[in-house]
Amino acid sequence: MAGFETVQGVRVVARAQAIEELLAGLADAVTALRIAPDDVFLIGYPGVPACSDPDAIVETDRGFSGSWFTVEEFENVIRAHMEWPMPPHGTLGQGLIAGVPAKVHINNAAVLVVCPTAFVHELEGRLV
Amino acid sequence: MRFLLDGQPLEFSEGDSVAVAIARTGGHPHHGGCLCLAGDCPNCVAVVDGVAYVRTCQTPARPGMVVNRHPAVGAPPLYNGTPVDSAVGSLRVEAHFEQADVVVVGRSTSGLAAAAVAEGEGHTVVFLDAGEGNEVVGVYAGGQVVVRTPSGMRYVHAHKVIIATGAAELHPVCEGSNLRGILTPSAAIRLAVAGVDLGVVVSVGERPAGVACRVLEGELVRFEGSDGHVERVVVRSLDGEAHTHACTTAIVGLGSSPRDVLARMHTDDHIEVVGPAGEWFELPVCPTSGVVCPCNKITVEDLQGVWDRGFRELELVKRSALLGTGTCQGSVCMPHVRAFLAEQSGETPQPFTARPASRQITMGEASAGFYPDAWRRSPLHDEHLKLGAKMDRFGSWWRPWNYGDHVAEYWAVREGVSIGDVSTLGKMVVSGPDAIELLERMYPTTVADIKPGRSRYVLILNERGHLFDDGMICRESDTRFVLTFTSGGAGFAEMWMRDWIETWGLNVHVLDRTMSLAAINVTGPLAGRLLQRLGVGEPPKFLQHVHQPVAGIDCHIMRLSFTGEASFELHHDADRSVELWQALLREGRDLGVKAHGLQALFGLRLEKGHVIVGMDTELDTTPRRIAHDWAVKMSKPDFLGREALARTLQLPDARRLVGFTMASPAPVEGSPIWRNGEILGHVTTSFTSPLLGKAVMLGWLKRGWTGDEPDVGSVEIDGRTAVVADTPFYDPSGARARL
Repeated sequence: MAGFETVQGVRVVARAQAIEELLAGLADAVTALRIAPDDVFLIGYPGVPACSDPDAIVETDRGFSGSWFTVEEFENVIRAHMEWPMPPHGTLGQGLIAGVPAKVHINNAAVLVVCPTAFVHELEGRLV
Repeated sequence: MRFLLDGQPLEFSEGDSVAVAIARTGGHPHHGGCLCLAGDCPNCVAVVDGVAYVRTCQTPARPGMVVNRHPAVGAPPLYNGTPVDSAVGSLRVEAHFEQADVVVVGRSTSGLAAAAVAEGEGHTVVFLDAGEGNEVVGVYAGGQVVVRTPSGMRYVHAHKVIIATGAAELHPVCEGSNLRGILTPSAAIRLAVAGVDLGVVVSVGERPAGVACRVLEGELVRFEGSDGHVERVVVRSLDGEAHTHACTTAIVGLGSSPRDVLARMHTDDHIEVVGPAGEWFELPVCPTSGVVCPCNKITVEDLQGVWDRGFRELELVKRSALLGTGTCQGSVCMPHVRAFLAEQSGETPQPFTARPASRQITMGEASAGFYPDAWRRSPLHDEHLKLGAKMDRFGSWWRPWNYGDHVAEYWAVREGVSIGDVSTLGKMVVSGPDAIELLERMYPTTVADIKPGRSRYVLILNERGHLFDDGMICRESDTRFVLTFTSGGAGFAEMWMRDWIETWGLNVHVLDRTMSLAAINVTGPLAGRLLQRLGVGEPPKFLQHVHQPVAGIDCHIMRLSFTGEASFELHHDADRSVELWQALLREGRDLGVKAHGLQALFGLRLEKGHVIVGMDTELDTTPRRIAHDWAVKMSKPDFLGREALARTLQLPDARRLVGFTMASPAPVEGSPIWRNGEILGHVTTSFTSPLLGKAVMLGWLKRGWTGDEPDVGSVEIDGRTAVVADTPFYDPSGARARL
């Protein structure tokens, strides 16, 4: 299992329509975690995105840590600690993993697990 | 193959359960009572490999296992073996979580039929059958099924749960029913199939298939025996005469009752009961003597006593006599108790509600899948450890209590410069055209008059006007604000705010930045000078805030004061925090900069009379009670709690948070406050002030207050005299915070 590392991301809280427009223009290299209809966390976005919502909150966010797992690693290391179903491919699942708040995103046969860095020591300790 | 029974080796055959192996030797796994060998009764439970209350009829015999009978009187030890996993020295039981469309409990005829229907409709079906090692011990609302297995606990979430557990055979209740050598028909068949010699066998009621026995027609009266074993059965024949029949094994077929303990745990749309588990069965004849509840040894006489004392409802009878609360959870006793109540009252009561767990489970099994609370670490956690911090848990975070000398940390703040980790503060951004309306409604202070670049201290009240948090409002633009909350209050504050935004239908965006931003408080008379060294040309004035780099790191600098000295909170990206912390320590070395922990901080703020919500306040604390009326603008047309405050302000209220001083040392927090032998209240927080040379305290006076003034001058705390004192104890003009 690769260790968790700080995720370089941008958080955008805006009207849902404005977020849809933003997502429609994203490059493939950007991973978008749709936390809520009005809230998205963009990983790998170069710079700060423009948003059509004038009241949008757009902030760089380095408060999360993440790690990519192969599907096999995920099944071996993470799955037994989740009491909730896996999200469909390309969507975001949010819930407790080993009692720690976390997010799960499946993309291209790999699984990204993200949790607030403040909790990452707990998550890593419990996955051992 | 052998296992140990009560310290003696016992031979068993391939396929034997522990109970069958014991029966093969002519023994009984417990101390008597009818055996069903179906997991329904408590009469075969024993201590197996250190775990008590194990149903030996459901436990395959294994070479080397250690079985001990429960004591004849009293409870077995909860645990008397070695750890299950001796390699790690723990009793941890693994948990397995899974999802399914449909769960079918019981691979019975009705269960198979229900499963076939579900599969035909395209649903995934998970079968759970105790005989296959999947013993369901609980069904919860929403379709969660808890299963005990040899490899751990399974938690299966299903859209639908079908309970198809069938029926359980009735046990006899009469004199002698606790003797050894009594079997239900199914148990007799199982033993016969296993080749167990049952001796001279009689059967009351029916002939079990494949069991050589003499069938006795009539009504069971009692069992007789000696040395704890049945030797005779007395049966009243159709002619009314009682006849005695010699035997070494007595089989009693009295009928069945639904095996419905799981079905009685919940009734909602997710749960369906099929087959005998959901059918009506005729109750047995009302018992007249003998043990009704073999788990708790409750007799018919006990039951009659409960009835005679006026307990008439089944639920009350259950609680009064402890029926149905033992090992079998009412499987044996309930049909007989219902028959008794039906006979007494003329009405047949419905079965009582069942609750998980339906089986005795170990503490390890109960805690499988449970994770303790996760505690957060700030980005500076390791820096604190490097400085020798003693860490403790506050408000869901690990925080430094002190760095070895809280008095030195205190003096660094009062006389020089110090840094403290306040990353744990709640931090939230709100933005939108309705932001001002939201905040005006939320907070009891005025918000619209806060200019961009300025900030204001705020109380946070609920609808009852009770204080539940406090913090700061920093205005950034016409429509954008940064809010702070206490470390412990941040999580709730976000939910609370979002709830009101939705309730009021406001157009406001909210982003909780508590864990994305770190914050360092630079405080002390030399704090401004230290910031200047790190590139802040002109530090903001009191209650101003600016966005400016510090040591090359983008910061949102908020000028305020909790310590009573000039203070600058530097909010910044969490991943730059170590860099900033180290720069502050490096550049402030010649200024004597030190890190301070919570112990010093709590004392510093107490000297200033600042209240800590949750430590100094109570659940029904109003602004008036803590002399914070100044932070409430009753002239505003509306805010959360205003209506309640307008009403309660008209009422007399003798409860006040008051400052006290006394000679050092400070009393223990929580100490009662006495006057003339009467307790007036208690100390909430206390501190031995190095600067003032005495103890300072805040404490509640629940009496001793008239009008706007206390009518007590001195009180007794910790057996010593303390006097009421104005707050702040230190720098009452607030000049030092504005330096």
